[in-house]
Amino acid sequence: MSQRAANSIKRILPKAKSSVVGQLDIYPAKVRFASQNPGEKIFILVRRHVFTNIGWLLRAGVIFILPIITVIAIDVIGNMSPELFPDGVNFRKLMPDTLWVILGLIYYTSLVTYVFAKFLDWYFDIYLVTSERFLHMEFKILTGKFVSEAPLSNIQDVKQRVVGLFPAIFNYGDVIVTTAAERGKFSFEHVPDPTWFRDVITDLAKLVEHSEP
Amino acid sequence: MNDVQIEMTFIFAIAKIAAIVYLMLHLFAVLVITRQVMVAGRVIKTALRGSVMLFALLHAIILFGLLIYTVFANPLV
Repeated sequence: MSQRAANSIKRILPKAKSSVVGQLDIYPAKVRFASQNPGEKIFILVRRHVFTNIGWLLRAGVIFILPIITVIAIDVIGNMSPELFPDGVNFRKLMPDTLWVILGLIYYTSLVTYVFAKFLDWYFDIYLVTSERFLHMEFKILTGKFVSEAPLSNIQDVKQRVVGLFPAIFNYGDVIVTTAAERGKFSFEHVPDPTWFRDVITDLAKLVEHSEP
Repeated sequence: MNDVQIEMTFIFAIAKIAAIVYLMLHLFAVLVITRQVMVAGRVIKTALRGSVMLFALLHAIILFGLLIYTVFANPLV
């Protein structure tokens, strides 16, 4: 990379930045990927905006407190109807203790597995912008991995799309890159700050285009 | 043993078998997840990769422990 190109990149991406929740890293320090070429630098690592996880987080929260609420609700109903439950409702008498322990452990380990799988689905769904190309690496927990890439020099058009209430509030959206390659379109989905991201992609594409002989 | 006790024993035995089958499938799914984490960790090296791998392994070990406990537990106690 020439000094002029390095200076231009410094203008486009002035300094390293890392978001607390890991959704956007500029010049990520400890990141490498298997097909990285010698001298290829990673400029940006981006994941879907962290707010896109709110659905499964809420579900997990409800699943977590559901048994507690059920026990309390049945207890309250039992106390409200002493003619139906003269001795109250004693859960421990319904099943032996061993079965309660096994049931509880199965329930909460299943919840942990669900949360872990959803987290991995987000954490390993990565977009990378390097000095040569952009890549999308996606790992589906049970079906395998998908990797797609396109060179920066192939970019013809970059669009951004912010649709919906939450994307507008939390400033995330899609950035769609049209390339000259056969595949045609490359979509960065739910990335944070799509305006900034679109601008950076456009500038990098211009830089690559102008630096090529 | 009266009829009710025999019936309860039968129900708890079925419940125990169901729990074992479920835990085996669950453990299998977690092992698949662990393998995927290893594959992902080889393809893209990120800061949290080690911690995520460790957690996946730990979770699989805990599930295996729970499976063993379920196999040997007496559901009537």
